[in-house]
Amino acid sequence: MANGSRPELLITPRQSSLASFIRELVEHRGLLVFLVWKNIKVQFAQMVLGFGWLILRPTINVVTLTLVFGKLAKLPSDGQPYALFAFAGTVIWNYFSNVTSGASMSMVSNASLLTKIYFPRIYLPCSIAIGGLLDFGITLGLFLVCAGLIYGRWPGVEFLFLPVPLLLTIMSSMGLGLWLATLAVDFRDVRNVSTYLMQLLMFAAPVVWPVSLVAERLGEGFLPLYALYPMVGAIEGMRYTLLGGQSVPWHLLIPSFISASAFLLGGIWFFQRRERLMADKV
Amino acid sequence: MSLPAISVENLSKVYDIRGVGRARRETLIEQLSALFSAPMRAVLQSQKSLQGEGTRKSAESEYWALRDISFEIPEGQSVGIIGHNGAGKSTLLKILSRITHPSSGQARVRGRMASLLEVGTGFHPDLSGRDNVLFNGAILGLSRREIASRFDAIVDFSGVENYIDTPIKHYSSGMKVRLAFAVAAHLEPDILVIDEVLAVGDAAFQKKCLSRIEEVGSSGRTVLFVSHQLTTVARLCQYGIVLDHGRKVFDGRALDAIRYYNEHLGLSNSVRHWDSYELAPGDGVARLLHVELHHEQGIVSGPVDIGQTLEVEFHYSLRRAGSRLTPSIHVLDASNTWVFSAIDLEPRWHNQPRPAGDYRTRVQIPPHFLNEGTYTLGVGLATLEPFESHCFLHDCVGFTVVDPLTGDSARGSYQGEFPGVIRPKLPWSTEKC
Repeated sequence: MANGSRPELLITPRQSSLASFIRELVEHRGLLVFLVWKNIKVQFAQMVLGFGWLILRPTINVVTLTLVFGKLAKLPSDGQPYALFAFAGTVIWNYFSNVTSGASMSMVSNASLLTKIYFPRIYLPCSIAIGGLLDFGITLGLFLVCAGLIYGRWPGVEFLFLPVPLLLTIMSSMGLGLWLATLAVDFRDVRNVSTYLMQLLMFAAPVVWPVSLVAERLGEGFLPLYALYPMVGAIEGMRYTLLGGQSVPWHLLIPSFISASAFLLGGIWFFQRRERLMADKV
Repeated sequence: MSLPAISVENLSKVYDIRGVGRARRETLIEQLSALFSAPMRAVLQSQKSLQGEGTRKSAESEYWALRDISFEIPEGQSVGIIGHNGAGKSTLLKILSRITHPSSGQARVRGRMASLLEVGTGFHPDLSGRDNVLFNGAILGLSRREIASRFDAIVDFSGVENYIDTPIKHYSSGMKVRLAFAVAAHLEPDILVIDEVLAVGDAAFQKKCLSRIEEVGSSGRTVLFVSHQLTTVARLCQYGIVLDHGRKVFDGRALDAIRYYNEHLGLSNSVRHWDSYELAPGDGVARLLHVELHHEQGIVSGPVDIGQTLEVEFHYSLRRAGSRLTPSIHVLDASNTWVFSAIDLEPRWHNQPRPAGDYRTRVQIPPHFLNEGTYTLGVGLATLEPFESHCFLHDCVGFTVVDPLTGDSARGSYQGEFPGVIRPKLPWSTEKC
């Protein structure tokens, strides 16, 4: 039986090229589908025990933020009801934070998979980003219901803008997640670091206070610079999507997209460079 | 003439094992603070190197898991890889499966390969048996369509039909293994790589798995198989590769490979000796000094013919006069099944008070008694009335029983698989009526 026509694989110590990295991604794409499917299945399996938690968590979150920052600290909210304002930010922030922390632990927590089977490792964080959309969807649904029933605010035509802040958030969380995931293979304390980092990042982002506050204090000209922190664009984009507004905040979205792209490409580069060493280290 | 399914050229893998925690930082915090204190460290470093304590990469900081391995596996052959723990078997499979990368050299794999380094990779306890089969199949490289078409056969093979929609956290460990192996058994790659996964499950299921692997091997696929169980290798593989400390030391027919392994590496422990009384196993009453195995040709080296008498000789010392010392031997097979124990029954000594001094005891294991396989032998020294154990040492010496297939064993002229722990030659008689 001649086997000349069979696929041939050459294994060498050399770093794989970007071209072969991409070819691998395409070849194994079926597995990504399965990883996402598994991720969602597991969420569902665990949801049976506590579907309520999926609703309760964002609710408690928003109520706390509203009480502390809206009622007590009396932070401004761009003329919106504070609860809605904070909720809109929380919807997208929670997705960012879940994906980032999930992705950053994805190598370490799947060590048994990494050391037993070959597949493009980047699929693990990817599957978390995609699988996280389920939770995001539920939180978003909760927002829409609350906004509609309590405040009589049903989504307008701006809702069609949703893919833009969402894409920006996926890019940012994958970017940061890939850096952390790669570092977590070498350093045991990345889990702790990312916990604190997420807290820090949350207060640096306009989740509980409006961007206009920054403009007031530091001048309108500072905003594009501030928006280099990609979640600024993502959160403001999300507020535009959910609460409407005068115009699309392109002045924030563009710098955010630029820095998110840089971060994501850097993350992919760093991850891919270290990918083949991971199985030896986790 | 087709190309080899796997060709490996000068493959090496070296791990850096420099003192963990000293040269390598384990936490990000340490790494960052080290970055900031880099100038300081440079000064310290130069002082150190002045004292000749530089952290140069030395031979001790490297561990060669594989060194310069080359071989070719023709398409359709089943090849066993044998060697001690740490000989590099698993590293080799991991490189071929692309889980880890080689340090130098290269390997070429022709055809679709599935590697099975573990059963049930990626199983999730909260998912049902069905979902885990689907996911595990995908992880092992099956497409959605392939899984769908084999699903019923997989479930049937596993024998857990009734629980297939139950989350596997409610499964017994045996059920999990069976389900996992069922998926693996229905992969149909050109090349199948398997690492010791048979060491799980009950005997009946192991047998089922073995015959399944045999089927795969005989259907023209290439099988690469790593195992400690030499008899399994002998049964499944035509060729064998022996690894020792990362180097290939033998490559040839499977039975020759096993012979080589036994003679040179495996069971060099047919003699066990303790140089000083203080280090010898035992207590203040009795200590074991020496154990050896002989057959007709003298001290055992290599496999023992199933038709030969095996003699165990051991020396020991008794320090408490008047003890009713009773030596015993204990034989375990490769899967640690306790095959038998035997105690010294010679009337002159059995349950009799003995004077202090050194003793030499011999005991024979008759021919056509143990089945083919690898065994370990332990020695015990105990006093009776009251029972008191002074020395009990498992795995003192080891040996492998083989049947040279000359036709005078209990096999007769049957050459197939011959199961069982023992293989007695019984007196048979049949009359035509």
